[in-house]
Amino acid sequence: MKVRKGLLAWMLVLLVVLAMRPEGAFAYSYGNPNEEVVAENYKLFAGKLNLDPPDFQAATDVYKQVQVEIDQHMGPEPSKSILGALAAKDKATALDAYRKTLVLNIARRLESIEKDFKNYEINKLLLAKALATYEALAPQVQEQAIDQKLRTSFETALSALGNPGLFGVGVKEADPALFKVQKDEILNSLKTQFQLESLDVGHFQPGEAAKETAPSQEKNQGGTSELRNWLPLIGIAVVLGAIVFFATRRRRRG
Amino acid sequence: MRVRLWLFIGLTFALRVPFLANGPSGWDDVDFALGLRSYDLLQMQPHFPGYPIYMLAAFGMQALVDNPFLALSLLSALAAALVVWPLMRVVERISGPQVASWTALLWAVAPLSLVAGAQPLSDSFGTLFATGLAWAALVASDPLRTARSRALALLASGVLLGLLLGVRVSYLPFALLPMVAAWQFRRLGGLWSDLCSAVAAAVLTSLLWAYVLMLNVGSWFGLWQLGLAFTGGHFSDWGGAYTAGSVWERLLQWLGRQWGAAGIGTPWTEQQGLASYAVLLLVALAGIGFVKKWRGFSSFVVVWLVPYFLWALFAQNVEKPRHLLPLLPLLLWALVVGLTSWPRASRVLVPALAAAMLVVGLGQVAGQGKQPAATAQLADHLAARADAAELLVFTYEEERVIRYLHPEVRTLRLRQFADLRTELLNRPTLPQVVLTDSVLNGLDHQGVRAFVEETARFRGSPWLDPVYHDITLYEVPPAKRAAFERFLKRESGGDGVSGVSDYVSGSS
Repeated sequence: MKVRKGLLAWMLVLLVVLAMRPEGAFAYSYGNPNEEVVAENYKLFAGKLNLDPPDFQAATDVYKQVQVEIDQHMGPEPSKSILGALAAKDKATALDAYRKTLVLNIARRLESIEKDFKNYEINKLLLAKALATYEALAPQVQEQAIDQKLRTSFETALSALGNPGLFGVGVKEADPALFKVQKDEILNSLKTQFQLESLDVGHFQPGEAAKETAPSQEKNQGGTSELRNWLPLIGIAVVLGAIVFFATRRRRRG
Repeated sequence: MRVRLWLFIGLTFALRVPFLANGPSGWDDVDFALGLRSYDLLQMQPHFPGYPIYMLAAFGMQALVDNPFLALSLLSALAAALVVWPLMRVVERISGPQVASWTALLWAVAPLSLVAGAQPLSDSFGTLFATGLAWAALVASDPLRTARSRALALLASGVLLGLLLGVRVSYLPFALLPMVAAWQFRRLGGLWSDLCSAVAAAVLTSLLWAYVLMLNVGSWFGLWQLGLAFTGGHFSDWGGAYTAGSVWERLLQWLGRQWGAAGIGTPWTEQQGLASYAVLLLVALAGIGFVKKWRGFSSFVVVWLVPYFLWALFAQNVEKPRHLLPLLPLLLWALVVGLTSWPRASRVLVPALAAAMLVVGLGQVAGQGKQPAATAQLADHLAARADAAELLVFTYEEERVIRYLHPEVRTLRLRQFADLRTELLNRPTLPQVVLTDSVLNGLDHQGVRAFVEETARFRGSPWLDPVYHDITLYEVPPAKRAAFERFLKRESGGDGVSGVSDYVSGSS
């Protein structure tokens, strides 16, 4: 009886504390880990310039929030031409320069996937970010057929990265050749669509992307396709089995 | 007892099979179906925390049934049927075999159990493990059992807790059951070594599925980050009007609609049949009876009920009655205890309650498997339109179903006017703008309303889909397009650079 009283009192306290939370309750929704900051920034940027009349000051303020990141990864040229066009009140050039920067950003993501194809975890994130960047550019792709084809290529590229499955179910092997085909298709198509001469990002060093997304350089091939990944799993199962076994045995004897 | 056990298991299963869902209806079931196609945590297939033990069972079921929704629904039906087993054992120990049988009978026919037991979601399967955990905890702290069976039950409760968390992490409050049982176990002279084994079993079982999740994501750090990103969005990424309403309104809605109407079939606005009033009358009788007899209920039930009860009220989405499913057996048990306190009459009262519940429950679940959900109707409508290629559809969680059924329809999921405006201004020409009511009503700036007209409406069942069962579609008519475009380009309310960082980081 003592237990129940103590417990009830404790729970009443909890109830009161929770009820007094100002919001009353948690809101409820799902977050998306795959958002790309620069792409979101571009959408906002384009929104400011597409106002009537265009709000160049606001667009500049928006851009400044990602300038450091863009300078770091793409070099100073993109910022120079974007901010230059904004200063000259040239909306079309500013938008065009930002879009080209986004295409280069996609190229950078896809190239670094290919350079370090074994790094499953980082690559999935990079591909998701590349797709999120394309989503921002997609409204400019006038022909629906090209848009659909690009999306299919992204999807195929994702499946080409492989899937570690769950408990060994649904394992898909990675396919570097298939990925390369999709990558080339995406980049060639974007190059034509956004009239870029080259997708060479001279300032990009391989491995940089990995540093930015994960602090550890430790590579994990991921998935239960590799034998060494099974070992800890088997280890846990064996210890668990041993505990159960000895618990049953000891009693029977006693 | 054994014959009755199998009888109720069979009855529970048979009542659900004709109503199994076979198509998508909401965000979560599409998540699971996509997960069966390609299990991928980062792609939210399913969303964090990944439901690994549930999905493992689902993979097994899919080997038998091709349609992923049907496979998942069948798993729910099977789980609901098996709940009878631990449930009858627990009730029998505390309230005797007669009450146990009647509780099992009510479980077979209770509306919420019937609905959740035929839907492609993890709640039924989770409830099986939660009830199993309660049984193991009861045995582990039972002074009438031998020391050996107490020790084994405690060990089993450790394993079951690990598995339960691998099914639904949100069932964590049930962890208090084995904890209190362990304390009781020690008081009855149980060995420390047995207690340590049980704790180790719980940790190792959890580690087993957590490790597999880590493999799917790629690293422990990645899994951790994914969890942070998800919970961050889960609890705060919401710009609409849904958090409105006082605590008391919320409590009333929760008790009256979710526990009462959806749970056991009492009357509600959309539920006015004679049977539901019969349920109400019998529940009132049970309530009066329960006040006389509740002292027979042990503190064990308090430990089972209270933590998750509070959790479901404050940290779970109160719009979804399925979150109450793991506690429904306790309510049904209390109803039986209440009705049996009426001498002699209980022989009539309990079957009468079961019959009334069955009528209400069948009414709630009737359309499932036969008519597509409102979200699916919406998706089909959009894809079949002549101007489907020109549409840009602003949705909220309906998006998941539209993209699953008709990926060619262009959809965007957003909550804030600033986002909507940015998306539209980002396009060279204004597309044909379509919004669902959940977006329109949730927008933080209602200026859009002046430019849209209602064009279609899709209805499903509020009992099968508590949130998106009544979808109204709005669009900008041709006559208002030019004005809408001017509005977007000039209007500056609800926007501003100060809000930019909120948008970029994805939460506010």
